[in-house]
Amino acid sequence: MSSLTDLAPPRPVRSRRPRWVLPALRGSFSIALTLLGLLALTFFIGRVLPFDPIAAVVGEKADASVYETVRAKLGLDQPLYVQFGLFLRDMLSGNFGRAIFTGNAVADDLRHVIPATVELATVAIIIGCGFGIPLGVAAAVYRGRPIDHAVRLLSLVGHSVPIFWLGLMGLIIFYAWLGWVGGSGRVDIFYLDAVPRRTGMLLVDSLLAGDWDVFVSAFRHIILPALLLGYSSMAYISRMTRSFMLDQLGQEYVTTARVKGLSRRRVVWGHAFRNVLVQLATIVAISYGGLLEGAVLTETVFAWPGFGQYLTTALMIGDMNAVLACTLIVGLVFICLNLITDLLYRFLDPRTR
Amino acid sequence: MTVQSFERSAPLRSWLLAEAPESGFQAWSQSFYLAWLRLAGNPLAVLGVIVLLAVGLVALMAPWIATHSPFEQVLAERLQRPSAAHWLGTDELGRDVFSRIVYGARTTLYIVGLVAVIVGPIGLCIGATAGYLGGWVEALLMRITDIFLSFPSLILALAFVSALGPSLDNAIIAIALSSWPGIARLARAETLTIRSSDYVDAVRVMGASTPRIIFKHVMPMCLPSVVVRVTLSMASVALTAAGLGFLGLGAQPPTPEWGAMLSTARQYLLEHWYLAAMPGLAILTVSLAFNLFGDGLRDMLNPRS
Amino acid sequence: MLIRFARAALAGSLLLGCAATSGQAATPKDVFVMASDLTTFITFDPAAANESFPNELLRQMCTPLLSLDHQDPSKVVAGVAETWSSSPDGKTWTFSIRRGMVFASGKPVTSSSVAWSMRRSLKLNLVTASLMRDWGLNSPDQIATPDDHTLVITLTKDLAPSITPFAFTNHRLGAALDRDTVMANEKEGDLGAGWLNTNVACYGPYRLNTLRAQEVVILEAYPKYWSGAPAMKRIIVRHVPEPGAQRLLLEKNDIDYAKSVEASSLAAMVANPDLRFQFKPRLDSVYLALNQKDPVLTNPKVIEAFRYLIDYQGLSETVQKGRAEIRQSFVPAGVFGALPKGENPYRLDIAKAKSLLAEAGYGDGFKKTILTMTNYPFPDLAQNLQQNAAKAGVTLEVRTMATAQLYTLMRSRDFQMLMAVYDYDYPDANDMALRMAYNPDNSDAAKATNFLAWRAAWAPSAWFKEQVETAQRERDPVKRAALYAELQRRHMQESPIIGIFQRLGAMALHKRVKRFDYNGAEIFYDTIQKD
Repeated sequence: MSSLTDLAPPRPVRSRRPRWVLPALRGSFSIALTLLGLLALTFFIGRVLPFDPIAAVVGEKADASVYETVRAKLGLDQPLYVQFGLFLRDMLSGNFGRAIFTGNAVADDLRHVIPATVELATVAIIIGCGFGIPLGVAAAVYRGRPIDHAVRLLSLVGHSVPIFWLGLMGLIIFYAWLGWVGGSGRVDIFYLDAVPRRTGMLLVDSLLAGDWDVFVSAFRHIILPALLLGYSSMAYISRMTRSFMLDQLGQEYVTTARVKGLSRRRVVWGHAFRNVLVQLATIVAISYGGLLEGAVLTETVFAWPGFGQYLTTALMIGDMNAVLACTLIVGLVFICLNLITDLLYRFLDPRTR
Repeated sequence: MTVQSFERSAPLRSWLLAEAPESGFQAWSQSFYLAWLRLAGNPLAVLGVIVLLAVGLVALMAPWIATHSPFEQVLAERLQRPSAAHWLGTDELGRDVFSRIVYGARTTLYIVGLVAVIVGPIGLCIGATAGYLGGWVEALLMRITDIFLSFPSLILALAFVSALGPSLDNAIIAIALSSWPGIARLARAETLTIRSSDYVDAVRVMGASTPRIIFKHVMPMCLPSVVVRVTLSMASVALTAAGLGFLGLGAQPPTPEWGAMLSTARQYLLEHWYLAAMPGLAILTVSLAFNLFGDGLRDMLNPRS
Repeated sequence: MLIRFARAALAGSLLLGCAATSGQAATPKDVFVMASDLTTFITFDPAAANESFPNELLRQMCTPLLSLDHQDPSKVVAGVAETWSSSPDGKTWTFSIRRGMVFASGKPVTSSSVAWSMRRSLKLNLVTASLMRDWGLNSPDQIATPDDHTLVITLTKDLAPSITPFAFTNHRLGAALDRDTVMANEKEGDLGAGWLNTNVACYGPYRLNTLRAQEVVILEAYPKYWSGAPAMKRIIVRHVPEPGAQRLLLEKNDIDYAKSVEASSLAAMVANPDLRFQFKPRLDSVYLALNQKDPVLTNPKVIEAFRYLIDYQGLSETVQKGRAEIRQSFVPAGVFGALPKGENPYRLDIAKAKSLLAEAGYGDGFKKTILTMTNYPFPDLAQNLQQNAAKAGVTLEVRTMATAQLYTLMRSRDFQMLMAVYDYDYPDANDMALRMAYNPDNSDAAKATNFLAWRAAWAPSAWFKEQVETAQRERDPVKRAALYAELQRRHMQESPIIGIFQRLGAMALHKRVKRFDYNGAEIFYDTIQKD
């Protein structure tokens, strides 16, 4: 998934400048370069796409003159590099252009869809950690026993199951047959706009407004997709937790502590677990990023009006403004996550200082 | 085992378990044997191998295992429940679901196999070269892999297939394009730890050319972890392929592909939920098997004390 | 540790349980809730709107000059215009705009509102301008407003006066726009086009309350509408792209109308006593087009062979049961000029197809690619054709793609075979004849995608051209109908555009919806009534 297994060789310190300046500069330059490359890649893919957004805008009945008018209006009659240059210029001033398929400014659309996905991913990661970490610790502590095997199998299945299938099955069972959860969308129709929008995340906004009904409705709609996404991240988190804990538990200080009479509980949670916390934090960060990918399919199945659905629609139509803006966001998120994990590792591992 | 056969196999066993190997061949055989013992001692990994072999067998023997042709449409018999005539029922065009799942194994294994064959060598080459040569070559190659890596693989594959047009081969290319960076990075990381080791220095001093060093000495050392990584990624390749098929961008009709079957089953979910259950289970099985096998392989090649 | 886990699990299930008990609300009496696919919402500007569902919504908010009768689509009734008349030559039309109508902003609706809207469409040169040119309305000079309540439009085409009113039933052509409001939101000389992407400033029984693509659209009743406020005070459209999910919502009482239930099991839904179904034939044609630029597909015997490779009967009884009817002629049933319902001369006959191919010199078969939409049921139809073709020795590769991609390839004529659906604009055979049997300029440069015949690179013989133009001008309805009958019969024999089905619109309603008007061409929200 990321650069987790890549530890860069140590850098010698030479000058009198503060140690972080040069790496920071190099780092930012590197990020900017990567982003630029990503954007260029996306842009040229977009232009190579065998269809164009004009057809989506004018439909099949427009004559040639209308087609040309729209082509000029969308700025598609200019050479590629000019279009790319214009896009970069606009982007730097915060203007991502207009999304064709919604008619809104892309920035406005993103303001709506990103919190939806963030809400889903956050609840999912809470579920993932809430189940994954204790299970991983349990599997490490009771290694070789049935619970260890059960956790490993559970996590493996989580890695292997196609998430959109699980979503479909979940909808049939929990919505159609049992009626326990809400159906598609984020909330029941009558609670739309019922609470003032402050963060864009319905669970938070409804709590802030003190509206319990809306909260329950939002909860019923988010719980199934979040559980599914949470399951897939739980698979990864529990596995890594188990692996880290095994590392810790195999070390001398643990046996020493036990011999000295500390209770197992204290040793496990008070000492071993504390030592893996930072590593776990990087794992959770990576999982969070991975949820963006799972979100694309989950949002399709649950009609969740989030970022994944937005990007997919934009790709299918060939709406380059929206695709480029989304690419930028996704790229930024992943790069940041990679950076965080790299930094944390460098921080942690004394060999690289 | 009779006393005689035990005595007969004893020399082989003692040869394999000897403390000090006397030849390179013996050393290789010994490490293989020990690794094999480790694998055999891991029941889950063995399960994975068995399942994979079973799936491979099913794919190979599809014409004999399937009860009907996977393409034969009998409109009058569409959407029937599982029965003696059609073990898993029929789909929306009256085709036998069981046969389509059996033939679907071929499609899935074809995709996974091709991707592995493309991604493994390419990623290994690029990563090892970058890691060994260092300097601007490494910086450039790693920049390119970073660009590809800062994209979720499904979205990248989606973009490529949209650009290239939906078809089975394009889906394979797209998935390969989104998978090779991970391998390359891994190979580079491994190379970094190897390149300053003694025996590589020795070979260099002896006058070996750079390509020779990379290909004959560095790459074989990266091989184990790359193989493990490729095996593990085959699980996610199977999932990505199904995801693309689900979005209508993979194998085109009427080729039976599990993800595409799931996609059409969506419309009949309420009445005919089994149409969706079966392909999903199939995908799950294959992916799980690759994961189990990959895990076992990893434990086998990098033993933890 | 296990205890902690168990405690968490218990809490979780309690929460789920209490959440489950919060009841499901049935929809209120004066609110109409429907579920539809709101994935794309390109624009609400009458000058540019071309998507099907946004146009359906726009129609409720923008009453055109004339309207179609709610039950009989061949009858034209008053809209924004109270009365209308034409000159003897049928080219000049005079409309008398009803008095006393006001926009939401308070400004009065006058003939200039409509005139300005039309001139604006021509100036912006987007989709609506193309439609106007199809009717012979090419320049702003053809629109005149002698006074505040009279509108005079002069067309350049010579059409029978029974056809022309249909032009003005199109809400994009004849809507009244609130000029002051629109121009107040103008940016950089776009005549308010940017603002109208997401806003509506027309005169109609409904107004736009909320628009959020991929989420919801809310319309609210306009109390000052000339015939009074409609019964449904609010229309809420939820975004539910899955037909299965729409069905669930309907069955669970959460919505009143599910728009796209075509794909899910109609039989089971029809049997449900809580639901009500209305089936109405739609104004469309499912067709198979063979590109005449392809040397193999120009052979008349090959074209005829394909007519015998489609399993019309089998498909209509199974895959398309309750969703489409066989219609091989291009005028849909129920429209003026249509052939009688049973007149479908072709049926599946693989032996005949094989012999035709052999006669054409392709006894060994050939390989072609057929493009079609990903929407249901086209992949199924294409696969069925693929199988039948294989039995006759023809190998077809099926490629499915999004509609926008398909349009692009149609425009560049870059395909071999194409299976899609064409939605007609108004219920008169002239529209269909122009699209299916008329192609004034077959060159690549013409890019006349508005003619389906052009897309298939088919240049109909001079006979077709004359027949269409004569029928256009013919005033005697009996003679006109005969002309179209002959046109369709010859079309079925010669044209590379093979008609297959006419789709049925299945409206899935909850039983509490007492009245829901759909005349086959348009849906009317202002007359919806619930228990």
